[in-house]
Amino acid sequence: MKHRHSFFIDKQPIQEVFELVNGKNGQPSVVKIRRLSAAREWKTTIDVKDLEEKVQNTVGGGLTLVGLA
Amino acid sequence: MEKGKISVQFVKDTAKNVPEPLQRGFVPGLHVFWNGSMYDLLIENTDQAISRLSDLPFTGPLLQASSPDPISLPGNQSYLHLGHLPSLIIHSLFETLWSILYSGTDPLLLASLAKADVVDFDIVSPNTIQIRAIWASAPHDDGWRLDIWSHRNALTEVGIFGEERGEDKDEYALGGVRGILGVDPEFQPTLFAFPHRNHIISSARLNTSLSPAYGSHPVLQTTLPLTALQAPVNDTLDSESCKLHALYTLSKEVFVDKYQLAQLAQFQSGGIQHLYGLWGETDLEDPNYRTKGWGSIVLVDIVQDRSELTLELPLQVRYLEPQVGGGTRNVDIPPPAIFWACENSVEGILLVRLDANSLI
Repeated sequence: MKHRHSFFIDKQPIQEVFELVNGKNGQPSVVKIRRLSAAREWKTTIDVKDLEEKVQNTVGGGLTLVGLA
Repeated sequence: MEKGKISVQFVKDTAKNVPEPLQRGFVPGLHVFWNGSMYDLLIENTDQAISRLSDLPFTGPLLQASSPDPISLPGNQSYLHLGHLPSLIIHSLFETLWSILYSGTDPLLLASLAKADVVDFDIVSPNTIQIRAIWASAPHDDGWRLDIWSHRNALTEVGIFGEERGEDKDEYALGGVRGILGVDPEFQPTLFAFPHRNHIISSARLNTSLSPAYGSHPVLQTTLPLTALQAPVNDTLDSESCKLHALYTLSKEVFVDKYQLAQLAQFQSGGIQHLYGLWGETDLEDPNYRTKGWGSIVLVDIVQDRSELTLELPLQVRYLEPQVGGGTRNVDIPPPAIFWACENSVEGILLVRLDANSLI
């Protein structure tokens, strides 16, 4: 699974709106976003195989994805 | 048989506020495009062709039995647009999304999907689904305030961009910083440059109205300010190729007479230079209740004038189904998507920003 978070600012200085904190010793990293006036796009890409496994794990298989709704 | 692709897009009325480069001439409602009859995502009946709307992955079971038929677009593409969705269907749509994204996505992000102005999901290949959400602005007056974490089983990329100039005059560029969490120790300065092929005129800047606002032959008038009539690139090789277009999405309660439109274009009347295409329900006689498709799409070239222009699309109203005791029905007619389309001679990353691209 891939996530892409994009922010599109108008005239705000970029460096003032985020802080990247890298995780150490296997801990997750985080970007802290604050006071950011922007349009936002989030896009995720999912491999269908992962999804089918999830469907089968969740509902026992045999259903279409829409059957989850 | 070729595996099908499907694209589903849910657009709120507020999507007109989405700025470039994310703006794509959004029309409110649910849009479903598909071009094939088989989908790997159907775990059952994988060898069955799609013969009914209700068989479509994701959206099929959400659609009501009374939903109108799709229309055909170039490229063997079927297209369904529903301007209004009952809240129950919208709820089911988001439940489907949440169930797909449940593991591997931040719960706060899942919750904020409900506030997105545009949500779409595409089956882009037999192995891949893409889900995308767009917010025109931050949900709070003081801007976005959130933490984005890296995931052990997912790649998470974050970018913050502003508009920049490309090296070539025909280029558009986005500059800023980006990085992959847990991989890049620092965010990297980044510049994306791409040809200035399309440029959407925000519908928030347009004034669209019916004249007269009654009767069976109203004219949809759209006033284009002088700024909208200036091509996105000037004094370059590509600028001469830029053309201004209007794309109308009309529900089946109204239609245009293609013969009348061709005649208007012949005299460049009403700002229409050329009828580029008309797809969907164009029968001149059928009443609304005997029209099977959801409506029609009209694409016209606009006269490129130097002064303010009022674009006029003559509409015809179909007879609606009689109701016992009479009554009224509201019909929404969204404003057209007005956009420049330019050829490009510059190498770069092609950024497709308008669904109408496939029509041009």
